[in-house]
Amino acid sequence: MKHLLFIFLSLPLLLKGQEYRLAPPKIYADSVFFLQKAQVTMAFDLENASIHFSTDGSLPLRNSPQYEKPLVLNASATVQAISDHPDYVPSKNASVQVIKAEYLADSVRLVTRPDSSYRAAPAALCDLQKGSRDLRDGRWLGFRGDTVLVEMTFAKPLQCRQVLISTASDPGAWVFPPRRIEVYSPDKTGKWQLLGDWAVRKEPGWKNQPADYGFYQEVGLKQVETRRIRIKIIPYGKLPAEHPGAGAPAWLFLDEILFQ
Amino acid sequence: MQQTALAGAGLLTGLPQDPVIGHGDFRYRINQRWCKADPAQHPVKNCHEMVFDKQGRIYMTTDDIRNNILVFDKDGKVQDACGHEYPGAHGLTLHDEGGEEVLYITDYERHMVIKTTLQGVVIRTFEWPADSGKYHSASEFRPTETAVGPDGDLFVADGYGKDYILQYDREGNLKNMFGGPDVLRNAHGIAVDKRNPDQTVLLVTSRAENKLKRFSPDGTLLETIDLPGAYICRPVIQGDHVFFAVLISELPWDSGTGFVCILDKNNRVVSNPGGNVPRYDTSGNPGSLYQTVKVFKHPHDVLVDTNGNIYVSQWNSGNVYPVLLERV
Repeated sequence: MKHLLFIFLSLPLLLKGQEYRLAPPKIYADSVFFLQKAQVTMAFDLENASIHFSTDGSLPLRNSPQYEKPLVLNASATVQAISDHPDYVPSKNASVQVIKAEYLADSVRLVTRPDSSYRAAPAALCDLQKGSRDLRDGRWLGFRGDTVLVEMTFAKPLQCRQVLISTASDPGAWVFPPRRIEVYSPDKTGKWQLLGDWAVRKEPGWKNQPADYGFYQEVGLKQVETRRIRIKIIPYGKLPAEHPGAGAPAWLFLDEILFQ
Repeated sequence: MQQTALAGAGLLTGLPQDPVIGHGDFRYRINQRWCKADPAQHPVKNCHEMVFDKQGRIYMTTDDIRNNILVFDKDGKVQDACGHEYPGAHGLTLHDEGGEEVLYITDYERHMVIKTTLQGVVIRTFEWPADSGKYHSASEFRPTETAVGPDGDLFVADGYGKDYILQYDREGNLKNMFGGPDVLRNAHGIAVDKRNPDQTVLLVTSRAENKLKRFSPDGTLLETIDLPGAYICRPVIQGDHVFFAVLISELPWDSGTGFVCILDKNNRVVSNPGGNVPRYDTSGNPGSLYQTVKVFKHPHDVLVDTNGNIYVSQWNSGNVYPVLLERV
């Protein structure tokens, strides 16, 4: 009798079978960094499946707008999307961030030389090209332990409210984000004056941190008109105790510097 | 008995069952209940390669040294277990040598290939190629798979090492080597392809490149087949088709984005169970391949039976046993 009751109660679950979750949709931006507009394309090629998205920072749901054609964006945004299908559990969300730049430097001078293994051209810092997960893709500049000094020159006077530094964080590969950033412009006498700075407030955790090759740090700036900017980036420093490379200098990687 | 009865009731009532995945003529119902192994008695860590013997039993390697080789019947019950000395047990090839079936086990931790009887008695070892000039120490040799050529030579894929394909004669003497890091990246699997009776070729997966490469038996690269996004483990030929476990479809290596991929006799993708609809553009270039349904995390090998069912073993997926895809 007990067995019959168990079977009866379990019947709906057993007959339905195991539930499976969908994978998130594929989501691509034609350029993570842009001046005028960015196009975001999504894909999820499964019969009877749909993609639902948001661009306002909210988590997309089944009743969010359905993706039908590429999105054209003219402002910075984080696009998030889920896949849905009547037979499966909706996916977790996928996202892509697109970042609008107002100004690009016309020339770049690296006061600090990058490591020879990761030496993209200095212009890579203002070419609107995002580096990939492959740090040798020719878009990344890698520095090991040195404080990095970069000077950027603009053809027309620049008035901006913040600078965005695109870096990477992959503690397992000894790659850490910076510890401090300082931004300067020359005063009338040519002496560098501080426009803004940013510093880590709390020692960042590194254990179990996933790799992030789109690690952005924004630095607010005093608004002055200038055609020259100097950026000083102080790296993480020595790898922490318990890290497999404890005591050795952490790597710092840069792939873009944008002015907004 | 109860489970069988209930499954039968499911069929009768027409209520939903486990979903069907795949495309075209290659569609499968997922059966997570095929394997009846008891983890307390026959534990697994990562599950690696699988082969059938003449009696239709399935041999599978795992790197759990409490039982490096598990033997299942077709109903998923463990029939035998052996092997405690293969911490890097990985590749498994079964070959009939004059009526006696033997196993070739690759062990990337011990840096060698071990030939054994079906009962696990060691017959011969194939050591690291010290005299090849390409290797400085045994630790550089981390073989992942083997294939036996028509004349009995053994081809070894050094897929976790330096990506060479090494050809040994029956006595274990190195005869030839080709591939290497300029030609292959993560040469994880190898198979002898006799689908064209006029031309025997070697199929080698270049997993990190998402490519399948065809070589002549002397090592000449004949063709490269792009499978963008698919980190294919080893080619498994059944009839006119080639089956792959796709470990992942995006980095990192533990992304849990694997599925199964099937090519037709022209080496074009015809089905991706657990993955997207295969498509080619008008120039014949394949579209990206990616996971759509989270049936698998990291498929590591497939085995196809005479009914077309696929057994899927997995790496780094929570110590799980193989899953059965029943062809519908």
